[in-house]
Amino acid sequence: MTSAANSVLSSATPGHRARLDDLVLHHEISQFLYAEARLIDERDFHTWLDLFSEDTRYLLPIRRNNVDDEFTDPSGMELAHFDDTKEVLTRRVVRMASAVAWTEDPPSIQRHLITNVEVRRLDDEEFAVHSCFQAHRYRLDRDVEVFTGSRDDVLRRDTNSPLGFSIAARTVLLDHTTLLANNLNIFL
Amino acid sequence: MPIAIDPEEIRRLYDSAEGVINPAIFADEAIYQAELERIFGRAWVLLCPEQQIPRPGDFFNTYVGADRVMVVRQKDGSVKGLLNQCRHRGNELERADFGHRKMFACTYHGWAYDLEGKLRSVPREELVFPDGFDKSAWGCVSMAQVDTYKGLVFGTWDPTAPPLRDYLGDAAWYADIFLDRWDGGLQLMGGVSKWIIKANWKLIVEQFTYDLAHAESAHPSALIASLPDDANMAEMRLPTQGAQFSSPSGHGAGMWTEGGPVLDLIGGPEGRDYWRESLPEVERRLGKARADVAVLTVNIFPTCAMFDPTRQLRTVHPVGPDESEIWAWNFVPAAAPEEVKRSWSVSTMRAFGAGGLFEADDSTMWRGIQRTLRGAVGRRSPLAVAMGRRESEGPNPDYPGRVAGACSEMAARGMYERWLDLLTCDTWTEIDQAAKARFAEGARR
Repeated sequence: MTSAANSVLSSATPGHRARLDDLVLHHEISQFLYAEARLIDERDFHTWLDLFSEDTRYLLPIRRNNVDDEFTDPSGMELAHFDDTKEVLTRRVVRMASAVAWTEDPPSIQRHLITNVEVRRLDDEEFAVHSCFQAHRYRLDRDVEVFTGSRDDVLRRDTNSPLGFSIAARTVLLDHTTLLANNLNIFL
Repeated sequence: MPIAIDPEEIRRLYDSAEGVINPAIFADEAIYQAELERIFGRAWVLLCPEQQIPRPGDFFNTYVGADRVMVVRQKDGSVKGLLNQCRHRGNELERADFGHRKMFACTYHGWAYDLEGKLRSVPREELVFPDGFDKSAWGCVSMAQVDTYKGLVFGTWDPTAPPLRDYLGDAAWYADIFLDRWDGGLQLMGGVSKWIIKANWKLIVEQFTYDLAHAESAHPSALIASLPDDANMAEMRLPTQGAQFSSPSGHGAGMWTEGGPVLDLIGGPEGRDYWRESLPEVERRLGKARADVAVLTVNIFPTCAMFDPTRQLRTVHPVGPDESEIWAWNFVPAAAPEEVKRSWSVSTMRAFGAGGLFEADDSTMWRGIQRTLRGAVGRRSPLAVAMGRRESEGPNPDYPGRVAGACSEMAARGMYERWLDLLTCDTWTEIDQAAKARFAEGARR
């Protein structure tokens, strides 16, 4: 934190102070999410992988058009496109980096836009973070696919993480029931 | 039945004896429209697993060809396939993917149909039809025949199509490896997952009809990612022992009889262990030849594919000559511990879901083929579906039907023979005769 920010904080009332803490936290986490998105877009997948905690769960459940309401069951026996541990995420990164992953040969051009960031404190070290994304994947010449959705993350302050936080859990809701893409060979 | 293309012209697009395909069959709009009428309008098509609609009133919305069809469990436990279209102004009757209903009421003007598809009520009927209205003539358009085979619901629009069991023929023996391997039966894990492929439907089902040989070239990245760090890739070889089956009805199966590392890659450790430990049970139920099958793909023509040991069932809906939807279900052994079921299903999605380590490569190939078919030359330059053409194809002591080596393309040729017969023959009698003639011819070559 800058000394200017420190000086503002030290002169603030307790109410102000808490709000300024929230502001700074929101800024830190937004910057983390933007930097994470950039790691994916710049294809630094190994560094991206290092953002995930060893106990992480990366979940991308299937969604459905149900009679009564939108139905998504991330808990138990329903299908998920991804229900990954750190080890499985590692395999996906190994595949991407293998030079024989034909979906990414030559590499697609991707842009992950992150927005609508909301932060809630779980405790001093862990934060529940909701955000929205739009990921644009351009492949070869004319194949363009757009993935829009939300993420619910649990972020943990972690000095071992390359970006200061680790992702202890991520649930991605993709805004498709029928996935309108040739594959989900993309990190979201 | 109206078709916009000339049967003689279609016959020129595929030469089974030489194994030569004109790729226009994967790209031409008129051929696609003819397929909707003459293949999806007549063949037995997978509607859904029975477990999607366990109770009377349950429905599952699917496609037959490009037609929206509601698969509805009836009060007596039977199943009907109803065109999802109000007979009044043609609006969709049911928009949800699945659910439970007492009636199907159109939200436009309120015409309401019962579970059998009978038109039961028309708002202000006496006012708008003062001379009366024969509601019995305006029920939902209904599939002519619906039947089940070992937990799968199939339907056909054609009242003259042969019974389902005859249609399956010897392919049932192969499908049973997937459908009937355990005493406790199968459990559907969750529902269906759906994604699109910007490629012709035949390119996708063709792979499940026979093609195990593509894996070495198409899937090295998945092998690298899935194997233990200390695995020696240089020594990694896919199996070569196996067989392939081709049916006169266009069905096909590919089988590896040595699992090797493949079994370790798909199914996950729990699924793999259950698979191995249950082999004596499978052998008791199905015999040694089928228990020895380590990797299996089956396609019931046109679009009902099964894949072991992933335990995945698929259908492929045509969306146009150059686009398809894949719908996939996971079936696990019902008697297995819950953890095994979950692990198996999750592993299958990791390997062969839309985000699967293997599946993504396949999507690239199918899309890659379609990309070459925009050009006039690419669209007319012959493609070879000729592998194994000089191999012996015929009876085998272990397997029923026409059988060849695992790396042949016999079953692809069989699929396109049936495709051609359905497009060019007007009646099922003619279709059967064409198949018999082809098989007599095949015995000579």
